[in-house]
Amino acid sequence: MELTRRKFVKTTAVALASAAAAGTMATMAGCAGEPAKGGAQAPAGQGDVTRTVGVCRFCGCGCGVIVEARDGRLVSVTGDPENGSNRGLNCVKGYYLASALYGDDRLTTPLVRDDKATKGAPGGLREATWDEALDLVASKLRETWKADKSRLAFWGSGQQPIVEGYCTAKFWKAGLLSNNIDPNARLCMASAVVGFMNVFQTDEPAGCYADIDEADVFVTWGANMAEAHPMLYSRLTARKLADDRVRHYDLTTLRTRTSASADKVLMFKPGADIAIANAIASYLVENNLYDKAFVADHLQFKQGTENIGNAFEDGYDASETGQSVDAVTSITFEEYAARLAPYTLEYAEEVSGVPAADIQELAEVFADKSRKVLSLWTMGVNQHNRGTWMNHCIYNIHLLTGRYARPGDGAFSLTGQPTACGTAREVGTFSHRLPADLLVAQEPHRRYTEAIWSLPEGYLDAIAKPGFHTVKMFRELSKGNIDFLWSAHNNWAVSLPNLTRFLGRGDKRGVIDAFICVSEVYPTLSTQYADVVLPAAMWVEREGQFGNGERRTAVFEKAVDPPGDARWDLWMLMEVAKRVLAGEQIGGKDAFDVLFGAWYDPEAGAFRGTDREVSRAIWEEYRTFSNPALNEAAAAINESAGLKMEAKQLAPYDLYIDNHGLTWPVREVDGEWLPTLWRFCDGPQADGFDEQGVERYGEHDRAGGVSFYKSAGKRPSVVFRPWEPPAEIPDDEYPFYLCTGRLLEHWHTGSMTRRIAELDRALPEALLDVNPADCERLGVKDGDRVRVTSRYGSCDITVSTTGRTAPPEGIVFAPFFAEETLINLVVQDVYCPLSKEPDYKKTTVSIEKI
Amino acid sequence: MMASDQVAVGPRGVDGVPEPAPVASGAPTAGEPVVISSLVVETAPELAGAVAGELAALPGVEVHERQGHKLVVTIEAASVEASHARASSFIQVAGVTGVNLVYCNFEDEAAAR
Ligand code: SF4
Repeated sequence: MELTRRKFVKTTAVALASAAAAGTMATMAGCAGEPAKGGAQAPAGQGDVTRTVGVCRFCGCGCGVIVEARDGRLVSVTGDPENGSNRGLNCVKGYYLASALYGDDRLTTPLVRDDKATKGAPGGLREATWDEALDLVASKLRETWKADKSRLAFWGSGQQPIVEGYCTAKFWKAGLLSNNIDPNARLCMASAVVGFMNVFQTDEPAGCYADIDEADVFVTWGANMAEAHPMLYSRLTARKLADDRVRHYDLTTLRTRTSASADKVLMFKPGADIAIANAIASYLVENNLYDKAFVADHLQFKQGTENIGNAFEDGYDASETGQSVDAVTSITFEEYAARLAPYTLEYAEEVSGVPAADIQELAEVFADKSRKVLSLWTMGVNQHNRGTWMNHCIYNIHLLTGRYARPGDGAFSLTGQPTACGTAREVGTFSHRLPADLLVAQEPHRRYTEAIWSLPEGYLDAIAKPGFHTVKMFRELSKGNIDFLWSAHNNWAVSLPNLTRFLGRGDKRGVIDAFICVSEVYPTLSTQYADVVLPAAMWVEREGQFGNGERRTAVFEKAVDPPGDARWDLWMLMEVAKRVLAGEQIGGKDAFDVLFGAWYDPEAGAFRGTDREVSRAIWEEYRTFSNPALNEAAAAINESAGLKMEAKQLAPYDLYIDNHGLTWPVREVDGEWLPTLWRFCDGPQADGFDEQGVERYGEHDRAGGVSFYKSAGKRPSVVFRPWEPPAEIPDDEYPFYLCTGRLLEHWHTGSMTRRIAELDRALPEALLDVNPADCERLGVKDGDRVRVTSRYGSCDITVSTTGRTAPPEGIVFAPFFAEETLINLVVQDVYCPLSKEPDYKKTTVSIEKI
Repeated sequence: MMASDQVAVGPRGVDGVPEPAPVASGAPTAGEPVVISSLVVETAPELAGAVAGELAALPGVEVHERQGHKLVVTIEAASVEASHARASSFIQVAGVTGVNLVYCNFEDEAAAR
């Protein structure tokens, strides 16, 4: 770089960081002229630089970025100062956003496997033309569909951009009339989703990231935010620095980087969190420390089916217990108090190992109304054999103390992926859902969807019954009951639990015999099981949209072309749909045309417009779900069935680009579109409060200044949930609990981050963190290789006593990113009976030196 | 929030810290490929000055200004990898509580690809 240019770039760098530090907007003067806006080409400082708005591709925080490209290459990435989620700051993984595109082994041409016997090892795939690959995928899908549509499946992702997720759900549900579609979000957020639905009857957090800036006390429950949500954790530590009275309590089963900076760590025995939460609730009720006005104004009380066992067997869901897990009955507050009464501090200590005094201290934190308390949680709570129940228990404490939906005072379920909310949850890629929180099982919901999708009335009655959830889908695959599987934006062969079963090791041939199509950007373990691999454009090689954990929808614009023959996933979907639906009709009209004709020309094999125009067209259809006034028939159903679909209003597409993301509901007020930061909280809409929602559907002047207008009777449910033990308890044969998780350097299964040499060097190997006392007993030391064995399978791994986590005796930890270790060969596939989310945190194992 | 007059450009002395050299030792020299990135480094308030001193002594690192407990820092290094390695090492400096990346320009690396 020439000296003058270097000086120039550095001047820009300093100005941007200076503004970000001050929390002010920076214009990117210096490198390329105007601030980023709508993909407009800006006059360049040097060469022709385009500047586009984007969202980080990696973690669940969903930070905004500005991307600059020149000559078809990315040349800079900047934290987007105008994106309210991160206000110009990224974590250090942002260095590698661009590098993720440029790994040496990008998939650039379709691949076909001729001999199924080659599955499960590198090789065996040959290059093919798009036509050959698409014809093959479509013919297998059509063949399966015509023969027995219970034998086909799609496995998607919380990383699949919104309009693609929407079109996939539409193709599967309306085109194929199949509910065998589920996302990997089942593995991370399903317990949070069911918790939201049970408590509030709406799947959404009331709060936002700005709560972190206003809280006085943080309580992290089973969340290693320091590694899994770096930007948000940095916001948390910034809040602590700004006020030395701010406190952080970390509830965890093992010491993490998050524990290291917490003021107090409550280390509990696996699964005992429900006992602790109930003891806190019990203490508040017993000592009259709950918020009586809030209880009177807002809450109803329930209890549900108990002693629900565990989903070890394939037949669990259909069993009598499995069928009854969702049942609840109303109880009085006094009955609720009576159910809590056995949960004394002493009993909670006995179950959890946490000193009663510490639990009491935390209960008193919740009781102290002079301070705002923010609970944050992720996989420790969700990936739990009672994950839905634990979500309930956290809300119970916050609701009893009137700490919900108020700035800085709330309970915030963090998401695990950049668009787990925006796509997996909001557009209906779950086996039981339709777009916009609607459910296949509800007749009015099907009617409403039919109206928007221009389907004949009753058309979707064929999918009234939910399809296979993720674990069921792969259990069926392993039994040879799935003939066609398509997976996209995920790496199931590394991320699923119980891979010993699902990868066909042993006598299970399903994964070998089934026809598997994998859309991918790099070779992964999943592509080793693929019959066809479709090379995908990634991240800013196409336009896309993410919806992050604070209800913020944001667009990433196309900045560069994909390499070689790699194509947009949406194009692949359209081409497969066109072939599968050829000659099919819906209501006497061409089926493909009814579903996708507005944006895809099947004859030409091309979209009707640019990426932007196509994305906009699809978004506008999707947006109709939350703007029923745009469709007369839908509006009538919305009215007659009392669906209140507009309560979750989304804005026109381009506004998301112009505003660098907006948090829904985005209300149209006098021609202006105003986002909502604090849902259900009364106050000026212009300041981010839910003035319009409360005005239209709720009540002013209720306790706490909030109104839960989406909940049944405007009353969220406090549901008593008992402590029940983990699915497996350590015994002589399997004396340890194995907990798995993520670490900072690698994003999930490492399919992107392990292409980046520096990240790979920083964390080259998955290590088994073991307590030194356990090492001594086992006769192993740092660096020794051991075999970890569970009832499910085994793998070999290197021991560490100086790893990223410090587990107590009896617990070991391993990250799941490394395919050469494949810790998921060992992990149980037992799931929460309500959410069907697997418990990755407490498989019992034995450890032996090898 | 800091006053906007602190949003300034270019190297600037920080309390008790000598002004760093324009291109610190170890950084690429003119003509060599260079990756330029800027960060906001958060520190324990009482250690901000000391942290600034320590960071500024690292090859390729400059501390441009201090806003309370936040330092505005640039790194010049020969590659994205080297920049990331440098930035990641900041957390080991006593008193550093957070490292946020703001901007990374890797146009030289892109041109070389
Ligand atoms: S915190 Fe997550 S979303 Fe934000 S820059 Fe880092 S990896 Fe990307």
